[in-house]
This record gives sequence, structure tokens and C-alpha cells, in this order.
Amino acid sequence: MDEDQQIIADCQMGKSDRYRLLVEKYKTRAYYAALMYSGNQDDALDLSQEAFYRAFKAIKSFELGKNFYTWLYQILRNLCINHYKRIRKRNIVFSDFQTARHYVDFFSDIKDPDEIFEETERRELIWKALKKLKASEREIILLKEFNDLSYREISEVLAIPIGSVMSRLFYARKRLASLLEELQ
Amino acid sequence: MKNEYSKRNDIELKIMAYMDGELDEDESRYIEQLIRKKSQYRQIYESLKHVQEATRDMKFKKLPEFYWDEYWQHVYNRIERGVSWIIISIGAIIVLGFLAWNALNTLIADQRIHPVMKGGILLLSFGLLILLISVLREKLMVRKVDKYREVER
Repeated sequence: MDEDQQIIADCQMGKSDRYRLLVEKYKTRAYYAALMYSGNQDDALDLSQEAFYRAFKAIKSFELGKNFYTWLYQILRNLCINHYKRIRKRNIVFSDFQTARHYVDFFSDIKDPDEIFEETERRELIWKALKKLKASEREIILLKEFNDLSYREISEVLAIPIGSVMSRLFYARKRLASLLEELQ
Repeated sequence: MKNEYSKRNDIELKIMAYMDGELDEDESRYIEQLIRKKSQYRQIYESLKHVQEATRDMKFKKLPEFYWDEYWQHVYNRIERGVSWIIISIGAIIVLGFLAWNALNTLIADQRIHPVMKGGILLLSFGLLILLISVLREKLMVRKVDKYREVER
């Protein structure tokens, strides 16, 4: 049994103070994942901490043997989607309500990358290219490149087969390559 | 023709998997050879590598250190608050249940209230109780079969 699984097993047996080890281990990844969805630091902190809290609440139902981070990521992703929908609902006029409910494209509302990325030479260019991708293409790029998930982990998070992960990622990267060329 | 296309597509995906370190040793060696020998595959590899390097060039903005120091404390506070809400809820259920029971007993014992009125109030209370049990049962049943219950929708 690896370290994560042992900690979770301990938490399931009531040693909840051990949960801190998991939080310390994954807090950075969870925070940056939330930052990619929310676009600002305060919300990212709040959402990632809430995800850890909800994961703790449900720790007894966690199936040992599964990957803790992908499980946490699913919780976090759903929290971010709901957070985004709440913000959209608050900011839109009534006639847009129906369409906005099903519209989940976080990036389109993030105006600039200042809160997310350090300023580098190519930042603006890559940011523009990322914004031009379809939401599904962008998400898979974010999962791979910015969250450093393996194909298996992405397949668990998005609930699609590994083959689909590979082809979606391949075409997303191809499109990003051509967008970067176009914008340069 | 279709076969050739799907074979090429398969190799392209494997080139990407090679770049991401997702292939085993044998497959990696095979793809390395292909990249070395065939220019069309080398081109694909280089293009994918270029995208990977470009995205890796983006560095996340660092959060001030004190946020990380306090991070666990914030999670812990939420856990603690969650536990206190559960205790408050159980307490509230006990107090309200006791008050309702007393109120019903007083109502039944009160001779000044007309029996029809008593019957109506009893039915109303009984109906509310069934409604409450039904909602609770439904919630618990969904909880049992819903493996994504921890995920907020």
C-alpha cells in the first residue's frame, strides 16, 4: 500500500489528524488547478480548501486503490463549475439565463493572465492561443501541461477512455501549434 | 487506404505518448527509431515538442508564503465548523421534536378545542412527519447508490 493509501486508510479508521499530510502534499497542485478555472487567487484558495474539506467529509466512501488526487480533482472541478455558474448567473441579464446555465467556458471570462502566470516573454502569445482553443481542447491541455496528470489520471478525471484522452490531447496540441504559428 | 490512415494516426498518437513518457521501453525504442529515420514523424515530434515547451514556459504566479503556511489551518477550520453544524443540527432536531411532542400532547388534552380541529391538526402533523421521512429516505437512498455523492453538481 503506498503512502497516500495508508493515510486514507488511517483517516477511514478515525485518525483524522493524518489528513493534514494529504493536504500538505497536494495543496499546491489543487490551488493551481483552481486558479486555472477561477482566474483569481482568492477564489482559487477558497475553492481548493473547500475541495479538501469535501473530500475529507467523504473520505469513508473513498475506494482504496484509487488515485486520491484525481478524486480530489473531480470534486474541485465540480466546485469550480458551480462557482463559475453562480458568478455568471449573478452577472447576466434574464434573457441570457437559459443559455448561460449550460455554458461553462471559464477562460473566456478571464480578462488577462496577470493573476495566474508570471510575466514571461511568450506569455501573451500563449495566452491568446489558449483562449482561441475550444473549451474541451483547452481543458485537456491544462490537465496535461499545467496539472501534470498522466493519461490514466486524465481519463479518470474526465471519465473517458485512455484512447480518447490521447486523440483529444493530440488534436488539441496540433491546433495549439497552428495557432501559435498563426499568432507569431 | 483507411488502414494506412489509421496506422499513421496510431503512430502519431504513440509519438505523443513517447514525448509524454507514457510508453514502455520497447515501444519507446521503436518510436525513437521511427523519429530518427522518417522525416514526417520527426516533424510531428518536433511540432508537439514545441507546443509542450511553449506551455511549460508559462510559470504560475507564486502565492506569498504565508498563504501556504496558513493553508492547512483554513481547511481544518472548515472541518471543525462542519462538525459543529452537525452537532447543532442534531441538537435542534431533538429540541424541536420535544417541543412538537409536548405541543401535540397539550392539544389533545385541551378540552376547549373542538375534536374536529384536533383531528385536523393531528392529520396535518402526521402528513408533515410522513413528508419529512419520505424526503430523508429519498436522500439516503440516493446517497447509497450515487458514487459521485461527494461531488457537488
